[in-house]
Amino acid sequence: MTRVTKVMAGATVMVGLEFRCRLATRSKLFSPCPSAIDATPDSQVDAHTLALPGTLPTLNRQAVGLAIRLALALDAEIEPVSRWVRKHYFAPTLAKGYQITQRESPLARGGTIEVAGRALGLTSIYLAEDVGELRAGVVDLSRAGAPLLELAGEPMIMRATAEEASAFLRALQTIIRASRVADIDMPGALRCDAHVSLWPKGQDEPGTHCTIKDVESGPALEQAIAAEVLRQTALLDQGMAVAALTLGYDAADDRLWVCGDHPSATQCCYLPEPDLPPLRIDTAWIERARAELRDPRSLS
Amino acid sequence: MAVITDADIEALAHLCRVELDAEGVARGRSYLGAIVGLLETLEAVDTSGIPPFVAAELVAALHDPPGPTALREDTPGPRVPAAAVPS
Amino acid sequence: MRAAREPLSAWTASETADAVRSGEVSALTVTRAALDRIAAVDPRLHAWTLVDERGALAAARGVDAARARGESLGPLAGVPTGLKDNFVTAGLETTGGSRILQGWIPLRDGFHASRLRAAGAVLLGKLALDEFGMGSSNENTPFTAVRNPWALDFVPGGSSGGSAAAVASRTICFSLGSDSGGSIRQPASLCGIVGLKPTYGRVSRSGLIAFVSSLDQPGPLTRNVRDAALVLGCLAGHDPQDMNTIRAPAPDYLEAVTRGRMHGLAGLRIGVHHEALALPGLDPAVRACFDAALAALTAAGAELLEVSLPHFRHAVPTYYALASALAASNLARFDGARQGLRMTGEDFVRSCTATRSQGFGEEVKRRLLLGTHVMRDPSGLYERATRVQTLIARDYTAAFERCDLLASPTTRLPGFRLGERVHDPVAMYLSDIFVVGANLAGLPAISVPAGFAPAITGRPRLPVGLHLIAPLLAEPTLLRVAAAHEASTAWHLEVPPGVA
Repeated sequence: MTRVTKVMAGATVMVGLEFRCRLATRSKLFSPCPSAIDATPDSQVDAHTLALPGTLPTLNRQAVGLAIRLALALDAEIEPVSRWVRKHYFAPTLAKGYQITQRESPLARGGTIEVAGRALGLTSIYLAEDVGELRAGVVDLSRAGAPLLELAGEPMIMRATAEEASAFLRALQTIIRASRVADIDMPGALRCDAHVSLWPKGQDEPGTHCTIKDVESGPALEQAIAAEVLRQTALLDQGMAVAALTLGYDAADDRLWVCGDHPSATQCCYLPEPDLPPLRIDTAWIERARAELRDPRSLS
Repeated sequence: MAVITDADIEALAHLCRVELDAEGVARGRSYLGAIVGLLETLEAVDTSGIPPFVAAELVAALHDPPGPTALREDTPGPRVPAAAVPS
Repeated sequence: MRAAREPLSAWTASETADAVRSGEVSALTVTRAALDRIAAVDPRLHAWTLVDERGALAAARGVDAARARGESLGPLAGVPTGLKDNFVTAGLETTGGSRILQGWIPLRDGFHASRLRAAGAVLLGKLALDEFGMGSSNENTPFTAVRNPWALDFVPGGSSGGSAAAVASRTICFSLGSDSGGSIRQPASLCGIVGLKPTYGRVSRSGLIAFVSSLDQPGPLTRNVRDAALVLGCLAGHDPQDMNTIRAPAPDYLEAVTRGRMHGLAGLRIGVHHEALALPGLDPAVRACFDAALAALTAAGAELLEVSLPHFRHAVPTYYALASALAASNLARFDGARQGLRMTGEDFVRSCTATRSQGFGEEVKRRLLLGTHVMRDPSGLYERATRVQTLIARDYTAAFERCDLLASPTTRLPGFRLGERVHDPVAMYLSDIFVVGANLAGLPAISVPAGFAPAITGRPRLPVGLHLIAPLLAEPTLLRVAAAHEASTAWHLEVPPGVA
């Protein structure tokens, strides 16, 4: 850690955290396909998950209810109307060739994760369907379509260590556990992406960011960010540019590996999702969710 | 009138995962040039203050009795048989 | 009522269902006759891409057995039908008219096949279309192009060309098509039959291969208005599997037809948009048929008035901006990894690209390029198109404050030869000027037979259609007026000479 501390003292490290929480519903976000978090590969698919022609999305009411509950637990403002978009890119784990998500018009805005007097502000909280998994070249669509609540954090400046990032992740786990919206102790229930970039002194803006995807524990997050900071620093010291990469992190080996080029905003096309009406959340629904938060016994 | 180049066509073809030979690129360029010119006539329309058309909202306004479009209850349905899952 | 000695192929869907329910004829007899007729007539037309003889006979026997058991039979009992091959059918290959889906055999029926079977209809097979619904001539196909039964070297229209040719050639008395930008109404017009596009959301899109999701509507092609009402009644209604279906009871469409036939159109105001009629290129024979149709409607008591649709010139570009982008979106799922054509490659990008390059036809590839361009356009072309769409919809709302429905010809020309337009996509697109507005505004619309363009040098006698548009959910008004027109004409009774 000392090497990292020295490096981070010399340059500003920008970290943007994005969390995705898998909501504990019985069926998927846009289809009635069963949605257990511990399903075996390819055991949990239906016509919609397979993107068979002629299938249409149907929105899971319980997923919305759980999303509202968690957003309230984070003190976010629920938007009375939010909208769905299709985020297009080609990947074997994305059967439709697009992911249904919310982007400019999220379910909730604002909110905070607080730890020991420090606060991580959230910019937006929105629902999205999960994508499948790729293991050793084999696609598994069991997870595809599961309901995710995405929480986008404001960029932070990390000083000395990445311990702060880990603390926020753990604090979020606690909030999720208390609000009972996810099987938080199961692997895959909460994943975190960290967008890491260095801002060398004298530069007008931060450099290109790389994204470490799907980190699941506080310690792993801290180590992954540290490893990435070292990697980028080494590149810059050699006079090389930092390429925009998507990375995975192997906590056991303390090793970053390259997933690929991340589909940047300019590569993904977005269209408003025509098959779904805008999501309308009235005050009655918000009040019911607030009541559920206050009384743990009422939570299913 | 927009000028569409071969490079534009090749870039679009890559984005939609379609491979074109030289003749295909040329045909694509001529087609897009003509149609994009047609689409550009929409720039002359004054749309200030006009909201985008949302077909789903058209439908929602026609429900009788009036009310929002119902969401799906969280009841799991059937999976497809393993044989139908691609390998 | 039909004449006792008319062949089965001349019976309407209503007559057939009545006769099967009463026991006058068995479903098996009707189905056998239809299969025989397909074998006799379709080799010249190529409307049918798949005929499921075994399944059809089994279904017909099932209807007869149900009748023998004393069970009540549905409104389409024993009526043979075919579905455009972009409707999902259990156990029957569903290709969307594309090589990329060749070999896909769905496990379960979509909404429409399911509803029609529940109504007692006998599914004979699948009908040819322009690939994935993209086209107006049924020439955009890797399979054989469909011929117009009225003139074999002329197109039947598209994209529901097979659905129209099958009905016009009397192999079946009704089929299902889909309409995103005129794809039911234009082929109905070119083939001299009835084609109905319901209000957006009136009929479920679950089980229809998606093309322009915000505009697509399934609908019937029939030989008369009453049959269109009968079939619509079997399909209309809320479907929880399509969140964009209207949760409202369907009215009695058959009653609207009866009212139109019996009680005339006194007090009905029909709007005519003269500015569109005045555009150069409207065939004089089409104009003459249209004027005659208006005369028939006024004779029935309707009043004509002029309307203005200020944004009508923008309808075609608006449609193509939306349609190409949504097509590119809806076709993104065809990557070779799951159903249909699968090409191999070193990695996913290569296998996906090889599959799509081999599997998609020329028109589809063009629209993918265009759609990708529209989606990425930094000036917000797609969003702008949806705002112009709002203006177009508002034009119709304003027009309907002064009239009860709008009338126009369905097409500008009575038809064109195979190959004549394939190299001129812009000309093809501009021919949609009368039909595409109804899709953009979500309005119900119908094309009905309105006479013939007489034979001239270089062109045989060809059918002409009358196009009517009604306000949202006003299908009863459409059917009433269409029925009144049909009651005073005999166009719908003519049989194409080549297939009599």
